[in-house]
Amino acid sequence: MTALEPASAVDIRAVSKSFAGVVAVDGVSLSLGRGEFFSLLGPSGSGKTTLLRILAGLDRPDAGRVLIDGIDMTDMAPYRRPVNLMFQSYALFPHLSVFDNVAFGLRREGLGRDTVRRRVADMLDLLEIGPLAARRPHQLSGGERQRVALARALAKQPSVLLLDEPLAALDRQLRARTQLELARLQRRVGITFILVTHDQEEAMTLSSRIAVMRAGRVVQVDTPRMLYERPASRYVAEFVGTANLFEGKVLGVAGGLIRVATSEGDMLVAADGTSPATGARVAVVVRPEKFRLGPVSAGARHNRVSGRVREVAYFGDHTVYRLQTAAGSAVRLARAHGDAAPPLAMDAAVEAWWPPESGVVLVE
Amino acid sequence: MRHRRSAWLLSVVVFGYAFLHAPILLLIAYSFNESRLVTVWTGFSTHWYQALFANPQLLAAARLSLAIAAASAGGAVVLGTLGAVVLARLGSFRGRGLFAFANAAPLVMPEIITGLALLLLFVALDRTLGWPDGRGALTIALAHMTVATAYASVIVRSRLTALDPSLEEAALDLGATPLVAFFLVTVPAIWPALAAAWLLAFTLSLDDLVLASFTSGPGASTLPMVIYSSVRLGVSPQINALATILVVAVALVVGLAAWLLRRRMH
Repeated sequence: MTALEPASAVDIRAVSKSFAGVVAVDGVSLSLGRGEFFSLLGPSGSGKTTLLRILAGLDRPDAGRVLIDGIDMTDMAPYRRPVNLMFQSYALFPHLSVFDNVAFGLRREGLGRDTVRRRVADMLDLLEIGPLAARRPHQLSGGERQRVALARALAKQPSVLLLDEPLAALDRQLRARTQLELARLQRRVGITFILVTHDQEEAMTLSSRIAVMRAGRVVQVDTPRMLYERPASRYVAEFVGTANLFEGKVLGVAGGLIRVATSEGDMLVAADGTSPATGARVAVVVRPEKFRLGPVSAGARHNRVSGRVREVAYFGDHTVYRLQTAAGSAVRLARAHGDAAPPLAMDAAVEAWWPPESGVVLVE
Repeated sequence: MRHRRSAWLLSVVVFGYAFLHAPILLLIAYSFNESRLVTVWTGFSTHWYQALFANPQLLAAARLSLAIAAASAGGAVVLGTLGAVVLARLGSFRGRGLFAFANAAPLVMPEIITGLALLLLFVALDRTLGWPDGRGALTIALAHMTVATAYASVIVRSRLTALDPSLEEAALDLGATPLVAFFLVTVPAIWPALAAAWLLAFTLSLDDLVLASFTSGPGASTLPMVIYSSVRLGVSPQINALATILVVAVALVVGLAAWLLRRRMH
């Protein structure tokens, strides 16, 4: 997608920002399509919130440009941008009722009384908080406040809605429910959403695409599935989901398979178009649920680990086991319940294997 | 043991408060004394209050003092708030330390020096610019404003620092210009501090003698000035009555200011 194409809702071009010599955002470039649900995922201090504030106009980048709907907004004041931000603290105005909070942005546009009343009512209905219109923020529960903040940010019908950890203040159950609602809401209003979160599960559930950030840089931009199945780096492999990493050395590439020598014996991994140099130091990533138990398929002598169960963590729908192999590696292995297979006992000897297309070779 | 200790504490508290406030209580009691002699109690009477309200000189001074206090408090809150916003919201800029110092300096400057400096300034301005054309109520109000601005700025700044900056950012994000955001979001959130600052500035002005003496001119005598000069000629029980009214008024105002400052955000 080229930058000139009008389909691009947000274009971030080589944006950098530092605070008192500390780099917060370091040469980030991203292009977002219209109607995308895009997440910036990273640990605290990775620059994701700063990037969001730069989009909102609350922080000014030291370098780079920001385009929204194809228009350069880099030097535009926040109150002139077609962008609204939902703050992590919600930042509801304490002296105004729910109705007046939601109406605040519309009144700044100089809309007529009746228009404001109608659009606020629509917004309150959309988020099912109509009955709360007369309340003050301090009379609301956490979940209700979150909805009011969302309604206030959406009321102006921005081109892009920015959400800074919108669910962080909610308890676990409410968060899971609100996640689904947020996804439904986004499909309904069709606005581009940019979500900042440190919660990889939240990002995976909601997003059409995710940018994983680390120390001010974007390390990978992909769909949730690709981030999980084909991580491009150890960092992504370990940050998104759980990963078993086997360090090793490339022995050669043949027949679409990379052969890697590791402490757990030789491994064969689908090359998937890549061809690392022979002798290169690599890591083989295998997700815990990719392992299969039981008798290894005929003749397969690769991709095998054997060890004893040292830890059992029960999650209801699945169980995670930690195996200690003879070579000393710890391997995490997940088994879904529901199949007839009996659970593994503590200290049981286990043999597991995985097919070549389930692994990923990371060159670093 | 507990009882013994609390008896000891109680007596310390009583003695401490008596030391601080007994003179004032005595003054209040004597304002209801019938006798013309201030030191001899002859019986209860309110006729000194009646005499006070029939004394045009004192009443005029009281009116002048109230007007100066109200005007200087208003100016001090506006200037102090501007200074507080600069210090609490603008981040770091060149000369910030100097500005913060200049903003708070009148708090620690001896009044007599501030008074003398202002007198010199007013005289010099009058000579070179022809303004403020002699000294009087205006110059007293300006003098009070310089000191009260520092107090107002400290009070407002502490409230601003405690205020979540994302409230103002949310207003900007929703399309309010910085000025609109200030009046629609910041001011409603910090108004108890603004009111408390105004009340404090008001009382500072009302009981100031030093600055007023330096910066007033003929014909402009504030209440403290009138009281001070009349006491030098001999204490009239009228002054006791007036002082009682002042003490009650100031106590009410300071109490109101403290209550406003303690009120929660919402």
